[in-house]
Amino acid sequence: MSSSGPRRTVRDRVERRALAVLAVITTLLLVGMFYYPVGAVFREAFIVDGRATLGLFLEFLRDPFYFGDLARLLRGDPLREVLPSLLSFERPSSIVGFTAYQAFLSTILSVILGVPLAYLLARYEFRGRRTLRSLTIVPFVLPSILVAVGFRATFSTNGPVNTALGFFGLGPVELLFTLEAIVIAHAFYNAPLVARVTLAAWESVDASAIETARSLGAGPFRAFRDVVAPQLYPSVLMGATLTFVFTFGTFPIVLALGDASLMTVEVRVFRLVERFDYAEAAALAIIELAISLTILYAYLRYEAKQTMQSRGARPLPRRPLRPPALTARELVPRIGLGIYSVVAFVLFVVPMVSLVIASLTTDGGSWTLDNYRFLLERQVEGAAFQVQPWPAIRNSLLFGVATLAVALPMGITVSVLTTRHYRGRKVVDVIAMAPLAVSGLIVGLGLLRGPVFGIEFGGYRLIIGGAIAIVAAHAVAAYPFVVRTVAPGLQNLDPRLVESARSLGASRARALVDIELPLVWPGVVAGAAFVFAISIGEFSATVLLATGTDQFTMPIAIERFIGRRLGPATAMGVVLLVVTSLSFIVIDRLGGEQRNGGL
Amino acid sequence: MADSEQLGRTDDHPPTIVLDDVSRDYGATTAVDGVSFAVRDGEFFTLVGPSGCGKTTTLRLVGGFEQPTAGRVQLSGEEMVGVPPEERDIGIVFQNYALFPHMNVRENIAYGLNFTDPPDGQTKAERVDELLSLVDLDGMGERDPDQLSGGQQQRVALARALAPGPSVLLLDEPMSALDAELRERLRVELKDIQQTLGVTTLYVTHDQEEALAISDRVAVMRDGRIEQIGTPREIYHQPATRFVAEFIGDNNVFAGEIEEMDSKTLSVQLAGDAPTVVDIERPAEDRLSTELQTGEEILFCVRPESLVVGHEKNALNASVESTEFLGETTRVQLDWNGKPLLVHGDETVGERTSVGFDPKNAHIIERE
Repeated sequence: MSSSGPRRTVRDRVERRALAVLAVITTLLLVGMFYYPVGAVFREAFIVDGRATLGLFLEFLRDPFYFGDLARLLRGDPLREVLPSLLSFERPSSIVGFTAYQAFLSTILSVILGVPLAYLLARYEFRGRRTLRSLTIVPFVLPSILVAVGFRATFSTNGPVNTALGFFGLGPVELLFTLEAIVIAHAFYNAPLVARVTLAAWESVDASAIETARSLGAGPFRAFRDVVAPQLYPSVLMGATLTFVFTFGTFPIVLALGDASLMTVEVRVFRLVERFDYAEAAALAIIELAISLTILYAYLRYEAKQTMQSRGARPLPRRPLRPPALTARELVPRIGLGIYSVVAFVLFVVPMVSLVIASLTTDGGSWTLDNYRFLLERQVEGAAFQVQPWPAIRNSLLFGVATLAVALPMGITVSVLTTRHYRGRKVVDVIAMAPLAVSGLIVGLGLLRGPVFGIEFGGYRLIIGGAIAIVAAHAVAAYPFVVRTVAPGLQNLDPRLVESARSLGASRARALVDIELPLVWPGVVAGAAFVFAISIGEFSATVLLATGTDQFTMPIAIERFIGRRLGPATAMGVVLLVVTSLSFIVIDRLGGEQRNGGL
Repeated sequence: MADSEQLGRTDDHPPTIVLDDVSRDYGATTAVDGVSFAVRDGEFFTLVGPSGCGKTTTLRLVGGFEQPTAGRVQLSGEEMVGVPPEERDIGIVFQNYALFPHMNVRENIAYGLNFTDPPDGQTKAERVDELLSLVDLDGMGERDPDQLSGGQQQRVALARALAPGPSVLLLDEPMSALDAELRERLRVELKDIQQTLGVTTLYVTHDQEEALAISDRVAVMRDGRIEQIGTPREIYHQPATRFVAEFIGDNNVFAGEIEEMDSKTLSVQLAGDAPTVVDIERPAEDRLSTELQTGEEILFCVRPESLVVGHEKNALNASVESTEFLGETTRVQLDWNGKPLLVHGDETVGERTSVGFDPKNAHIIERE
């Protein structure tokens, strides 16, 4: 318009198109870092000797080593021979069967441990409640290899659990390399997740709904059953489904806590890659992906039928933790919570404390700095082929920063694109969030078989270095979490704020920078923290891409150490714990005061 | 609908806002359906109608927040279809004000000056101070939006919209979040500021009283279409449709058949069981588009204030249903042969009463 005349120049035109340009760059990155590599995995699995075939898949399906009784049925064994073992509750010996079995047990335990936590946080007021609520996000961002080392330290013969049991003349219990250890470690990860989603539902229950039920004659338990419970079921189911999918695709935990008899699909894929059986690895990974996606899809279909939960106009009041009267009604739930907190303490706190203690003690139990000294000596004197600590720390930090630089703008761009209204938004949403459902092992395998080994371009061979491939894998794994933390904030912003800015002369991109981003800044900071934590802790893709190179990270170093001696692995684990915590604090400080807690 | 009155071609200046047969569909639903009007330079023009009538969508089409599915939008003589909001030289105030919560009052008002130089060679700070005093908020610049009352927030939003000196001001129900007393006071202030600056203003409200009080001209909307455009007096005294007659203020609409007519008076047989004939004044020749015929079915309306208790002309015997004391007047709800009538009376009315009206106070409604 006339008022600003010559100031509307080239820069304005760039600004006007800035969002479109960002969208194109994000699309290209997504294709290059995710869709192309995953496509490469599919091609590997479906095309044998230049011909498309389902042969590999059919072999897997008919192999009892993978599919157990199901495979025997598919091979044509008579039903009455297979049925008894199919229906038994014995631990399945086949790989897919065992994977599903341990995922099922892990889900049950996670729900049993998660729901009481949600109850405590939703219904009781006590000092540190908010802190405890924020802490439930911690297991989610802890590197899984760290948790594995923590559990090794906790349950080892002279670890704290057996020491405590010995003190009472009990034990020792031998939990390491058992199914139990794996299931408990999975609960460490997923019970807080179940608790978080259940808590969100519990906090949105409207107190007046319960009061209405009570006024109509329902007792407290009846009111809970009729009003509260129906609002909780869908969330508990969501937490359970996510837990099942996560634990079905488990990898580092089983690699570190299991043995040859405890092999999940992902571990098997990893072993196949180690043996250079790329085609078989690809086919097996795709089978895993198909199973996970089927479960997720079934769940989403169910969820779509549920009505939207509305935010409670008035949340339920919280009770004090100290019983106001010594009646059974006041005491019983509090005693239950007391027992629960002891179990939770052992599950959630002891592994991390054990990790620190184990790094500072000898096998005999006396205090020592030997494990850290070992790391230093290895750094100074170690041979080139040996795993040295400093390159691991340096690589982890470098990859973390590089991942941040890629994943944060990507996540913000996708957030903006998926919170605007236009035709086809759902499709964009699915395409952009697909990396959440695809295991790091598949992305790693695809990057390995595609760009890292080289892509033919009309006679030229384009080779993407290992470091770039690792950053790409990390960015793909991490940016959906930026979307998860930024998009809800953008969604809740009044669109009239942007419209006001634009009516005053700001371009769309300028309005994003001036208005939207400052207002969702806590979400951006939380997203950045997730990105960094995920990059530092990522194991599945990194272990594939770093094999045989000097691009290994801290989690990989821990995995290498753990195979030989626990001591140095725990010391390295403490270093990883410190670096992860520090990066969280730094990002939090940089972002100023964080008002709401992301996920 | 596009006659010269609606397009505002009554003076030499081209109109500042022109909508020409504009429609906006959302899939199967049509929010705005062939709307045309023109707003003259400096005019205060109001879109009024019940919620869902398309008035806000129409305003958003002018602002460029929506694109029309058909038709043309012009601002200051330039085609606007496809032009983004930031290039339209507009200012907007929303119902909830949409103040930027992370900026203080001064920063909010100054925001638009990042993209346009202040008029008359002022500095940014001078311009902000001028606007703060224009909206009577001197010294409040450093406050945060959440420290202000609703009325103050509204004035900040107005100042922010006016700071870059836009050629068009869009107001989307800016009063509806305020209480009645404040609303009436701010209404006067808003009109005052608008006249001082002479900025062309498009105002959207569902409050017909507000529309009559504040506007130079009013467009009444219903179901995405414009029912009537006119000055507040025209809209009130000469509603073009039954909807306008009943939406703007209280009204009594009668249906009937023309029994006889001469040059001055129509005798109308009212519809209903009891045969009743009333006389109403024949409208001037040029007001109706078609000539009246004997035997024709017509609608006419009589405002409650013109339906007088005890008036000897056109007397209708009715029973009293209820009375409602409103201070200045008492609304009396009557039942005349099953048809509800509303009159202004006092509480002395008994169970039955007779009301009548002067023939010149009946107004013929042209369209159903």
